[in-house]
Amino acid sequence: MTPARTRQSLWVPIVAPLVWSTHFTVCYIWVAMACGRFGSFDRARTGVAILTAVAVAAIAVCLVYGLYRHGYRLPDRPNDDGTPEDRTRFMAFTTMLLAALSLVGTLYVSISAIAVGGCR
Amino acid sequence: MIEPDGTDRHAQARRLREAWRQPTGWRYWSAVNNNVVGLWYIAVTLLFFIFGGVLALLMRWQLARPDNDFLSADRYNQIFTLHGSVMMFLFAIPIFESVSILLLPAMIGARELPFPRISAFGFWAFTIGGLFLCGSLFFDAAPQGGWFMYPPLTSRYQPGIGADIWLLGFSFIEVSAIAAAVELIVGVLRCRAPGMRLNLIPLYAWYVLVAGVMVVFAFPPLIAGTILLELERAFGWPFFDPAGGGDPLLWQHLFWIFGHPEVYIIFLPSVALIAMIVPTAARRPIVGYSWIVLAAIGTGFLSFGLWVHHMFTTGLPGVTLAIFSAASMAVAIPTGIQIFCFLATLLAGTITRSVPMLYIIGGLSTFVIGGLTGVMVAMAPFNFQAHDTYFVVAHLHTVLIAGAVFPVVAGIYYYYPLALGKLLSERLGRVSFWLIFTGFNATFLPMHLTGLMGLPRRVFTYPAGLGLEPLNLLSTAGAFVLAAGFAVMAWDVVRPKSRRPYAPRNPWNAGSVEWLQEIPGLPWGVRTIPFVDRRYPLWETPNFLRDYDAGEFFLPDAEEGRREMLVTSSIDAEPLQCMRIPGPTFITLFAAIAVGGIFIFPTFKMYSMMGVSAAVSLVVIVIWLWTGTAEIPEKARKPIGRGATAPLYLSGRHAPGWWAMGVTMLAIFSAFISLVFGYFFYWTRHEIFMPDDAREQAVWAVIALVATVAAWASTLLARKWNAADRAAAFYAGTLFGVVTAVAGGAALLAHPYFSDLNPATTVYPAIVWLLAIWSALHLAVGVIMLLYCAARRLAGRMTANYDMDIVNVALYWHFTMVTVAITIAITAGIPYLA
Repeated sequence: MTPARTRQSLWVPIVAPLVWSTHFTVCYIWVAMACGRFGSFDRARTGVAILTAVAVAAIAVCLVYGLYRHGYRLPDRPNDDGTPEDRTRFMAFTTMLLAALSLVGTLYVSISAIAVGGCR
Repeated sequence: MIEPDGTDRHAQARRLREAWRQPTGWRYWSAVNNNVVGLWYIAVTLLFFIFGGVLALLMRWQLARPDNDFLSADRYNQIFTLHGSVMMFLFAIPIFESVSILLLPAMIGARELPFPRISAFGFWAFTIGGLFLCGSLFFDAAPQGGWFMYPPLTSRYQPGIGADIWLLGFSFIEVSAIAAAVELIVGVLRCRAPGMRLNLIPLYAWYVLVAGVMVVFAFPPLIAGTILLELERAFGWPFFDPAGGGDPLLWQHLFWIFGHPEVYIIFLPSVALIAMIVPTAARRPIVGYSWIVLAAIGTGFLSFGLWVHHMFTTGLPGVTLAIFSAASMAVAIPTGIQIFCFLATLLAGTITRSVPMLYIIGGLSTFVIGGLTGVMVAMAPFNFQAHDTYFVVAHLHTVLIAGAVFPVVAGIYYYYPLALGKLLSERLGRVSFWLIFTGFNATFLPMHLTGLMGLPRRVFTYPAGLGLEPLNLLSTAGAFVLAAGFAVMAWDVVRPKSRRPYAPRNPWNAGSVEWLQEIPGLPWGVRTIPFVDRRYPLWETPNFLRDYDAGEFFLPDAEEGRREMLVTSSIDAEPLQCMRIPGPTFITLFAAIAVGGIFIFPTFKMYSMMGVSAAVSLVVIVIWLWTGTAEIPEKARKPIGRGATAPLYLSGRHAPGWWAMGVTMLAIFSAFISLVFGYFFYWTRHEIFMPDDAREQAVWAVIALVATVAAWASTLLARKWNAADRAAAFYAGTLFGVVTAVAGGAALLAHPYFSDLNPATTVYPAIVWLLAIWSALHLAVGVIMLLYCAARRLAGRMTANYDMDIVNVALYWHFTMVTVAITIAITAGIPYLA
């Protein structure tokens, strides 16, 4: 049986990308509604700012959790052995990488609300 | 060979061989083994590829010179539509699934995929649907709306059956694609060799897992869109007709929510082949395994945030364009990461020259060019200029052929000995590569220029004097050189090889698990299911091959003459079950024919025959399930080798069947959510969407909700009472569930009916009716499932301990409950908000 300290869920690594997806979808819907139904770019922009702050915070938690599971060491320590420890390290590292990618993706989306000046 | 403990290895191998023996004679076509069905599947897919390629040559011949009359405009429209559709739906997707069906079990050290009959069903459905679609060209009835079938062109201006053939035919094929995806996902997660923890999975399996999950979420939106468009064409429900409040843009959304991930569904499994071949060629483990897993998963997610970049010119708000442009740029990050990992592996190792590597290097270098033009068209201002020109044609063919076709050809050369025992010719391989590489670039590089010069796509000819002649002629010449390259490769693949010796075992000196197999292969897949504790066990685990050959690993025998494989846990691959899988049958073919009727008859407006097909499908599928699934074993556990034992029956959330039900329901739920998206799309875009009296008759919605909750609760109680062996309570629970579900379905339909909503008038009644019918169908299927469980228990095929049927049905009912609740919240609740 796998020791409890190395147990991990299949879902943990994809929490950050799920946050990205949610942020992306809600931003898209919010912008469509703010520009379409309300005709207010300010509302669109404020909404994206709030959503981005929440999403970045959530992704940061994933990043820190991955770091914690990785033993607070950043470099890619080997994880190619058939042991529970290596599997944990692998999943922790993947969690960190996916969180970093999700962070970039989320910030990219938010840039659009800064760089574009209006609904049209 | 008698071991000290009295084990007779030869007798074991003989029994195993007998259990996995292939049917012969005309019964050969009843085979369900992955190594037979996979080959059929690949062969048919390649035939469709040739068909699509010939269509491309016809187009290039037409475009070789200006004002050409080789093809009429009408015929040209049919040909470009079928070319795109065939290459996407009948080649690119199925080649991923067929190659995976053939190779995935070997790569994860399994004997088979968990549901071999589903693979066979998918193959037959694909073949029937593909022939139906391609055949339409010979009756001058092929679709003409382009591979993305935009309404209103396809809804109002093409009255023939071409568009119906496309919509219904591809829906059928998508069903088979989703079936294969379910099989592959469950295969990767539940059927890996013991010891193969998540950090040791072959990269191919990671990519297949990601691509499979993408199929589950990407295909259903297209199926939903297809239902909407077909309802408009057949019955006048105005989903895309602005006169009835519909909006053609919704089709574009639904199509591209499918269409963009589709590109990555095609690309990722091909990269997966690269990830298997590169370490072998470099003679070292892959560099950056975790980074490649990141790239696969990251691409899978990001690819769902790109679809609007196909719609930049539709007048969406600028900030919306920017959001999708940003995501389109972001996806270049993981795509780049994996390419750098491959380059790093090659740099760190010692490259051995081979035909597969030639194709990979040629493919990767060209793909990078296509990737860069992708970043160009991801920028909205450039996109406005390049939209619908040959620049886009050039870009998409560069990424798809270099990113997907080249690696597949590399894979064919690399894995041919594993599949068919012989090596392909090195000399012919080089000839075909240089012809394909030269022809490919001569065809598509000039198209970038013709596109920038303004040549639009999908126009059957062009006038002289615009400077387009030499570039188009070059493209045509290139296309024929490209075709010659494929012809050389095809000859190498099909030419008789009886005089050629068999390839040596592991001919490329690879390190990954699949190469432990004997050459020529035997029907059992693997002699024994290995214990895997390294990524490259053939390189890294001492005596791995010797132990395998000696039958030292798991399930070396078939004592009861049954086909058996191991089910393992998803993260650490600990053995959980010795699963018995069914053998050859024709029922999968019958099921595919019957289900095919449901899709093919309505093309010709033969709705009564469609009903008959549905009834026959139900009967065939019930017989299939009744005779071939959830079999109660003669004993609870059996030894699986290495001193371990495992149960023969597994029910609940570790069972493959439970996972398959869950994944299938996720796909169906995504289609439903796409319809819900449609509702909100109309709601946000139209000032007046619903009629003033939309709140009336809400009492029916309340009745439907209460009845469905009762049916759902009854199902859960029936599951509990069955487990407690309280037979009378179980039957009462299922019966009450059936009655309340019928009542719930009737009330769901009564709500729009008594609200006097006519779906052929405006889009509000149409979408409300569709949501209600969708949910009512869920309840109807739920009723059939409950009756099936009751019958199983009556027949002694389901007991308190062996309760897989009712457990899986309960999972189905969770999804049904959520679907009905959302439907009611929208159809009865939203009018109170508006």
